[in-house]
Amino acid sequence: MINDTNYNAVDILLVEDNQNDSELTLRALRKHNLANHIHTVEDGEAALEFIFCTGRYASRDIVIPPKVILLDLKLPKVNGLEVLKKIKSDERTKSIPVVILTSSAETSDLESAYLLGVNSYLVKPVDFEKFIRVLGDAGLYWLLINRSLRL
Amino acid sequence: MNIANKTILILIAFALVPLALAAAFMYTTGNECFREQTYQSSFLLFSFMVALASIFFGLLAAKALTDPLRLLAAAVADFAAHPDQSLSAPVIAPDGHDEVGALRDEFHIMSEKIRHYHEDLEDEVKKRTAELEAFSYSVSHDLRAPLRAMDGFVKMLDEDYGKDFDEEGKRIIAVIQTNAKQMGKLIDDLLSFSRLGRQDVTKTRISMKPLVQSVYIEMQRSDPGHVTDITITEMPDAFADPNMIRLVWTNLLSNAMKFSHMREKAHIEIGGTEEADTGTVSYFVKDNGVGFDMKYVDKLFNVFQRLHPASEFEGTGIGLANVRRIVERHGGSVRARGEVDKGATFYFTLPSPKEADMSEYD
Repeated sequence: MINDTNYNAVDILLVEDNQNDSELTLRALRKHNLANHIHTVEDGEAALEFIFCTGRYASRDIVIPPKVILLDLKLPKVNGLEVLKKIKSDERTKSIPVVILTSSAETSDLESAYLLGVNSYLVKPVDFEKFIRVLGDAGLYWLLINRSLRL
Repeated sequence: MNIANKTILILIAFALVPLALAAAFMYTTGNECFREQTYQSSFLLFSFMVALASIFFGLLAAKALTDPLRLLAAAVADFAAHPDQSLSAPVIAPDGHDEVGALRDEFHIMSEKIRHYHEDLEDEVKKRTAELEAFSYSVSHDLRAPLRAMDGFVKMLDEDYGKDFDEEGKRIIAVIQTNAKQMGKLIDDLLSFSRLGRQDVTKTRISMKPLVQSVYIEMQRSDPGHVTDITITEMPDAFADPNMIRLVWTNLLSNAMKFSHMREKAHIEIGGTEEADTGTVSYFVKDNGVGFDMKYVDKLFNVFQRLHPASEFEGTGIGLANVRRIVERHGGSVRARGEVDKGATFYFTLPSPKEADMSEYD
């Protein structure tokens, strides 16, 4: 289910280049039964293609966005802040909730992300139990509690 | 006595010479014509004119000498106050190739050189700071990721296959997890230490006693089972960064509590005094805990330096290093006194608000 071919049914877009981290994230979400419609991309370029329905994802419909995008900051090709900037400066995509999921707690990264209009900023805990809890809480909140534009 | 005044004195002395000569000449020579009133008075008048003229031209000369010197002195003072800025005005008009002119030229060359050194130094500091930023970013991001994988995958092993392990297997898994957590803590502490070095110090007047009380209440709230008898006496205010100083008190107080909690009657005393002669205020935190051997006092404030095994007292050893870094960034100093099993006292100094008030009127 990691690579759901029906891209329009994707609830969570996970942008993460570290495969260990994405496995941990999937496990955390699975524990809360939130991993049914998740799609993972490993760099910023693929993320932009998915979001704007170009390239590999040309078949996707832009009017059916994911419920939330979990975005790492340090990514190959196009970094997380650039991806965020593109999403938030396009009328078609700026209403998609974006959650930064990163190891960096640097003030400069926090500042840049919030100035670009990020919806939430999570620092990945090193401790696995905390990691499971943080990811579970975030998944529950954005998929079940928060009302997004998409029904 | 300045040069102008000295010149006047010398000139007056010189001006007296023709007058004295004239007088002496008149009274020693028996010459008839000199005895006559008209000759006498015209000779005196002539001598007087010579004296006046020499004073007048002498003053002009003194002024010509001292004015450029005064300008040069003002320029030196200006440069001393703002060594990073180019001299706003030329030291003297660019004429005259005398000794003062040479001095001016040399001073110009020297000030330009110093300014260049200053600029180079600034660039170097900026470069180093950027390197440090990049380093701490890499530490926070790159070191934590593999650590999270280690901790997470061991946990997954435990969750999915734990039932297949015997007691020893489970113990080994627990050891890996404990160490991964410890390393995570060390990385976080190192980052906080590096951040404290880069953060700007924003000084303001701090009412110290309420601050200490709020730190204590906060600590009590997070650990309500930990009862410590604490005395906070009157203490002077400081001129410092409130967030940073809060961290100093949090570290010192939690240390005092940690190292005295095994006492039947743990007691902590906190106070401070004004050190009027140095323009600083000084504070102390005294406990009756396990103390330390004064032999190791120099190591106490080093990063990750611990004097007790982790099995006895938890912690990474970053607390006092942070305390020292904060206090020293305020221009203050830290010191400690202790005795094994008798307790420890930590002292630190900070700028006084009075000192700050005074410098505002400068």
